[in-house]
Amino acid sequence: MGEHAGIIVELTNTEIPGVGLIPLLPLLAFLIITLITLRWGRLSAAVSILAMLASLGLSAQLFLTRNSQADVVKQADFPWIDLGWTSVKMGLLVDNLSSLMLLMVCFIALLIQIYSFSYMETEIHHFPTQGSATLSRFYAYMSLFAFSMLGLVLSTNLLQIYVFWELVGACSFLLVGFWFFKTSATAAAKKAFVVTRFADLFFLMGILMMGTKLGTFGFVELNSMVAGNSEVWQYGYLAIAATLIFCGAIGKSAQFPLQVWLPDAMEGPTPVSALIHAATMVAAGVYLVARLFPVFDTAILAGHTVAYIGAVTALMAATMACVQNDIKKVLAYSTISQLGYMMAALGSGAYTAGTFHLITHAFFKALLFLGSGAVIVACHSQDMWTMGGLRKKLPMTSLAFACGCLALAGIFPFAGFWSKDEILAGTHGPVLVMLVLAAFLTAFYVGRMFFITFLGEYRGESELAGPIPPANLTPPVDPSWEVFTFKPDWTEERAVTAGTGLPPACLGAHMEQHPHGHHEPKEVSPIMYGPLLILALFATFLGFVGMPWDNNFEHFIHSPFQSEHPFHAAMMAFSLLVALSGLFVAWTFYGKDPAAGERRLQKRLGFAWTVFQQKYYMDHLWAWLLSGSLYLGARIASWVDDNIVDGVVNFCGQVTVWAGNELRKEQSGRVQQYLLLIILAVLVLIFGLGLAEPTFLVNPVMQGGPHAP
Amino acid sequence: MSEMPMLSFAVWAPLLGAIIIMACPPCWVKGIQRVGVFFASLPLVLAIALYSQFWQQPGPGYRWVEDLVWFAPLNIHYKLGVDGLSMPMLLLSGIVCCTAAFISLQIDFRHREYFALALTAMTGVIGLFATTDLFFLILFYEMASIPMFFLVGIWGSDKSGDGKPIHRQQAAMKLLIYLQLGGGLVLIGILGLYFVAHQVSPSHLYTFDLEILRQIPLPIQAQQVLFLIFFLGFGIEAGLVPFHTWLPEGHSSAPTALSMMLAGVLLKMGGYGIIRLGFDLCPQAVDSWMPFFAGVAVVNVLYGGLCALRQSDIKVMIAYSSVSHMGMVFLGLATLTGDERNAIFGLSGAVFQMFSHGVITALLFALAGTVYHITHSRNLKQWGGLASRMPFFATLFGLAAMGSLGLPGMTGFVSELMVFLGSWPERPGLTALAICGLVITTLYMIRALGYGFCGPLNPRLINARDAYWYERLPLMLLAMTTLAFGFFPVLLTQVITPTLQEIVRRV
Repeated sequence: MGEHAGIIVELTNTEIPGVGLIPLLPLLAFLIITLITLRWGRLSAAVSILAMLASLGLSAQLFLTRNSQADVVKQADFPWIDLGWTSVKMGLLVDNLSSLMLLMVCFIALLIQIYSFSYMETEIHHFPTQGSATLSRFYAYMSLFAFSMLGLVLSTNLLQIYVFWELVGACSFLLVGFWFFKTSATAAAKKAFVVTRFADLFFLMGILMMGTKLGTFGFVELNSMVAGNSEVWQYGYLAIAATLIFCGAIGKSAQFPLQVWLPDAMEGPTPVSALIHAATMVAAGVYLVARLFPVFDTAILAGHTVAYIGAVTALMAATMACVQNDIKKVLAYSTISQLGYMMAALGSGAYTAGTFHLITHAFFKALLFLGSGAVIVACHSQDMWTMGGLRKKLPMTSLAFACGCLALAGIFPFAGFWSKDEILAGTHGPVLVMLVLAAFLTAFYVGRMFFITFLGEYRGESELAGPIPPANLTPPVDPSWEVFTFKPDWTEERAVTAGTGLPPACLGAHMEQHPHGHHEPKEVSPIMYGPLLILALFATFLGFVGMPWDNNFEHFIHSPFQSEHPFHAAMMAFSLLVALSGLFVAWTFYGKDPAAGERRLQKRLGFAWTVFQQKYYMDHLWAWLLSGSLYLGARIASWVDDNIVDGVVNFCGQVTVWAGNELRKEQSGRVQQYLLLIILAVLVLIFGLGLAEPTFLVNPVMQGGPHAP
Repeated sequence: MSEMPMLSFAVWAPLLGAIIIMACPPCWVKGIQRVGVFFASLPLVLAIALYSQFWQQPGPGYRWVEDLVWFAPLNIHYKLGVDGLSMPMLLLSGIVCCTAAFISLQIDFRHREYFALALTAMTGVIGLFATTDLFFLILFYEMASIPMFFLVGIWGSDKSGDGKPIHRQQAAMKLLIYLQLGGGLVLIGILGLYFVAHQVSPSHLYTFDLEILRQIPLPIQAQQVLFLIFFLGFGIEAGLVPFHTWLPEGHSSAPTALSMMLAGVLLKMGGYGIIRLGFDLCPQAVDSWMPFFAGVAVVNVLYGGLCALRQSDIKVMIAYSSVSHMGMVFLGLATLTGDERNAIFGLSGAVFQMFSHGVITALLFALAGTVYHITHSRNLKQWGGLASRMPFFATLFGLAAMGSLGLPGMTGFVSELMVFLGSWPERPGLTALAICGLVITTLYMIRALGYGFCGPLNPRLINARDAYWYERLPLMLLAMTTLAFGFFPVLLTQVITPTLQEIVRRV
């Protein structure tokens, strides 16, 4: 194992603006939108898209220069918090991995922003109270997100990546809760933010643990330090620190056991799901692990943790994806599962495979989400059982969507095939077994989704609609409702029963206006399917840069860590076979009569079906843990504060009042009593002071009292 | 440096305003309001001018010193001056006083008395940070705390929501008693210092002058006793658990502007006093007490956070969050026992946190108070969906909540990061617990945002209005401050670093 970096060079002053502007342009767009163009939605969209286009140009330029200087790492650091003796730095790190990520993020973000223009117009149309600033708000958040994500990619050190890590989390919060008047969207945004932030606690601890011990937070320094150091005393420490850092990735990349937030985050507008919860932000965890790859490679224990968590997640999420009815939920679980693949690869030492899958997945998953968005716009529903037969009605969309599905299922020669195959070839043991199972399930649920949605007859709201009521078991209640009875006075349920006459803003999610009467889905606008077709090209052909026998991707990423496996024909054939059999099984269930197939599947799975649909009861577990720990603690602390701490304080006050009342009685107005008291007091003074003989009575002039000059 | 007594202008301008206002007829409301806002804004203008000068030429030592003999027999001087520690606090007081005055325009009865009392209190809180004579420190402290009793008792509000009810008269009494208790302890400490210092070095006259006192090496036992007295006295003012119960009652019952001043400035007096009197004058006592107080700090963080989590009354929630955030200040201060590099992180973090918490909490209280003024409810359950009627408030509340829970880009993150960076190498266990406090803050802040501003609009609030210009202006000022200092921490660190380095070297 060599060092992470070949040659480290300072970024020159002429290069810094070119790199620095890549994240700063979207920030500038954000500022322009919030401060100037807030009232003009279309203008805001133009500003945001132009900034993204410029960033894409800059990152493409940067990317092209990288081919000639494959193993040069360029870096520039600026002090951010400067305390003289010590400082916290921010900087720009340019190597092949980061330049590739920049290009990917900019490209996908640009396509999604173009797509959103049309998508958001139709969404806003549904919500009567949403004014002209809504589109601006959306593009402002998107620009802010682009800034944060690009800054994250360019981070030179752990503290900087933590800063942007938190910022992308906040943008995710804003965008998931974009339709803030919907209770479900607000709850989902809250959940996403709190869960990822919970993971970030451990991330921060890990950063502090590693950085303060090794004396640096920089990736390049850390990696070279760790790679050249195998002292045993540091090994355990390093493994703990690395595992804690990985906890941050568990949260952000929705790995087991914190995967619970990502499916809920689908409440956000679909382009948001495509950009943040499929292509970029959730991949940040994978990027972090890739950045610190030598650390995880050295601390084998941490590496194993990464691999097993990834594999378990991949399998678990794949099973859950098989029983979803909401098209976006299928894709959400599939994202979790695919992120698990990447983690498993990185944890097993297959650096190239993990990062390659990160890139290909970003393209085909963004494609699938955008495709689902087009379908949702066309059908006004997210339930797959109200769709069907869309192949004829949305030809362009279904063509692009099919490419994405084949890529996700891992069918030759689509992009997903190559990267997934590399991952399978790079892992071994139980991890491999779990991943192969997950690959089979992936093909199955992809087939299920495609057959139900695009084949057969259009069902609409008719009798043909599916046999399964969506998620027919109760989700856990918000723990603060149970523990504190902390429930808002006005809820959407009350709005429904309160009857008419209320302004739309009071109705929350129920204000959504659907067109009445029978509705035929028709092809979406070219602004929407254009990006889909472009992404479909990538989903189809991107894999060819990473063919095992001529791996351009590996050369570019310049993985110096291990001699990667050679061409592995048996594994390729095997993985293709697994994927095809998954698709075939899906066809046997859903090919002819999807509703009957679903009933059969439910019968076959039996109890497991309930478990899958209830997300392995993870939501219940977390809700229970939260109410049993923090909320219970809050109740206890609050009781103690009201009754004991404040009780003592108030008791002191009451004693004072009581004493005052009692002593008041001494002032009775009876002269005899006063006289008695005076005599007693004089006696006490005489005898008491006579015994004590304090010095100041003997020598009444105070020695050396304060005098002014 | 300028020859004008700039600091005196800054300190006494509000009091001058108060005197002018008392001379006005009470029915002349518009005039009273204008005079009040004008004189409350003067300190900010002066503070910004001084701050920018200081920032351009950073360095240790006091600047703009004014020294007049006030009472010769006891050697009391009217002495003002600011150094790198008090400069940011002065700026903070200026910002909070100015914004509080704007928010005070909401007050709708007995304007004359209100503004006169509030302006007197402002002179007190600004003077606190500008004086270097301990006698005047106490004097300004009393000047700040006594008007607050009346302001809370008369213009305050009562608590709504779950849990124990809070009445404003009772809260005012508790507030005053606690402030006097803290002030009393500090007074005892100062008098002790006054006599002991002379005993130790009779060549010096009896003095209250900080600059002279810090040159006198006190015996270690005296330092230990005095340090404890100062720490407890100022700790009470800074919401040290278990002496914090005046915070939820006093801060939440106070009228909005006063909540801002209490939480934004007076609470900082505690941390400032501990550094100024505790660390600077009793440096050798730090090692014997701070390890213990590091534990108390973490209790502050977690206990305050958990109590805040239980509250449905937004102002009480913010008050408890102050307890939690001041715990971070104590934790940062506790790093002074360690290595120099950690100590400078911790101490700068503590000072940064005081500044940050001052701005962010002032913003939160201003928002909570203004929305209360509009909706007539402080109970989060009775809000709901306000974002569709008051987008401006909703945006700023989101910003403030994010700042409070430590989102990067705002000051809260910078200060907490510095505290953790300094504290982790010294006490990883305690720091880890304090880090856990972040998730509690996240929970209640995000919940407040969600319950208050998101979801369907409560029909009771259909006619709720968005902010008027005189509400927008101060809120924007506070928000811009936290963003500017959070993006560019150098705005603050360049001023405080030289002074704090000196303090660290002494310890």
